[in-house]
Amino acid sequence: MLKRHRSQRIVLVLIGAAALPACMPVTQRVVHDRYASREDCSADWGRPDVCDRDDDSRPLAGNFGGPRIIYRGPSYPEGGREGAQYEARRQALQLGALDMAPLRVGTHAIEQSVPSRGGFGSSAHFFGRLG
Amino acid sequence: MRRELLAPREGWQQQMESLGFRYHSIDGVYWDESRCYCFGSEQVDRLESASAELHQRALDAARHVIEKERYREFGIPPDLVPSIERSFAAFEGGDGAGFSLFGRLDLSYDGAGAPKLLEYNADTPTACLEASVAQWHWLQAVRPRADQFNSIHEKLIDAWTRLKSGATSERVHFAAVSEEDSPEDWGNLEYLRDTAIQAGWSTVAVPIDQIGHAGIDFVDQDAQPIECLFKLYPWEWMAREEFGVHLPVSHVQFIEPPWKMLLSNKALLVILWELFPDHPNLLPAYYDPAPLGARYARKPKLAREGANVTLVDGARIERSDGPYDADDCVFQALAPLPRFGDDHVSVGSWIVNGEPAGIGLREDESAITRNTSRFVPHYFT
Repeated sequence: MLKRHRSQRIVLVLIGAAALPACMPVTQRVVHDRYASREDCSADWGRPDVCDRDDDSRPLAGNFGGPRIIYRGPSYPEGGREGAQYEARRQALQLGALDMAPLRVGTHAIEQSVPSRGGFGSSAHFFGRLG
Repeated sequence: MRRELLAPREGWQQQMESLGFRYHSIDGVYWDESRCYCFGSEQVDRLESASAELHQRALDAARHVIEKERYREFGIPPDLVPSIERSFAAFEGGDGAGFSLFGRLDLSYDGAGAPKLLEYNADTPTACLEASVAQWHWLQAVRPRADQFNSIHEKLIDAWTRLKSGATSERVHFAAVSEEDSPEDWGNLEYLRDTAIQAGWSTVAVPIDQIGHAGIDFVDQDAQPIECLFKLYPWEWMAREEFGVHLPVSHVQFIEPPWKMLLSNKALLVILWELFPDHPNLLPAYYDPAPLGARYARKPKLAREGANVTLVDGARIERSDGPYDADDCVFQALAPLPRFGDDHVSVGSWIVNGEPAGIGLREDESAITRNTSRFVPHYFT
């Protein structure tokens, strides 16, 4: 029997006549939490892998002259901390890596920032289309 | 292999648009169903086996470059080398972190001799929607009893499904130049996103210039962290742009992965010929034209869409323009594209998840396939 080469059926669920327009950019503030230690961060988010040393080692707010090494938790949309924390903990649980250390009050400070954008895409204006 | 001239279907434009193929007439005529190509099944078998072979040899070449640390020939920024090595090790170990979705081998094939590799678009191949969906629908309407070398669609869904089985993330972000700036790239992106959705992924599309960086890693237009990013945007462009400094320390899983930088660079052609001289599907290629005498193609290592290619055939010289003229080049023996009437045709052979998946044909009056070359459907019996 000859080997079949063509697709039997092609169904599209996203594109086509009812295709949605491209996502419109939305400017939303993003925040992250800063911690005095990785352990504090991990206890808060349920997993150490979302906690990194902060390049910017300014001391924590209200802790003038405090620790020089600061850790930061994952970024999340402003007002979405609870959801982001739940999701991080749910994933850690799925992976069997949930940090069960008790939360400690006052271990973090929230800092706001707007992500910088436009750092990719400039070459397309010069080089044009892809292959 | 023969060309047949046909009357285009009435209303084909609307039919293509209903499939998301809205750029069918970009640059005048792009989708061209006033002709098609017919292959014999043994010719399709030959294309399929040559494509599988070439992909494996390309992996051998990548392995060699990594083992011998020949990154300088590829112009790879040193700080991206660890990402290349890590991702290739993951790929070799079957870890999803090295996952590669697809690539397109561009071949010179006349239906009689062995297909010859012209280049491997292994990082950001386009014309996927055309090859997978548009020509399949054309086949259903015009040659319903014939076969087509095209199972790209189901292989894409299979590939995404396989990636999902071992993934820790549930969401893939898809990034390309915006639809406004490049309808072709965005159309391809939306199609690939469609196949990921059908494999059960949650997806988000983001124009590449809307990607943000928030301290530790990349975020999307809604400030949501990006964990897995399919980017239809070249690695070498990303590396040299403002956010390129964040790539070496990023936690994001990129698709295509960093190791594909070794396959999408035309220095690969030199390495392949060095490792596999006289391979029937390869052409002699060097960093210097001298061994090729007066017949060769000069190609910038990182050029795309046939830009800045020069074909030298004795005193006869054909040249394409483009923005890559200052780049380092490779020199490859000529393998002229077959001519049908006034047109030259090249074969783009798709590799999906490591396997040959189908072909798309491009036609042009020029001997150099360019971004303006027409896409022509095919069938086989």
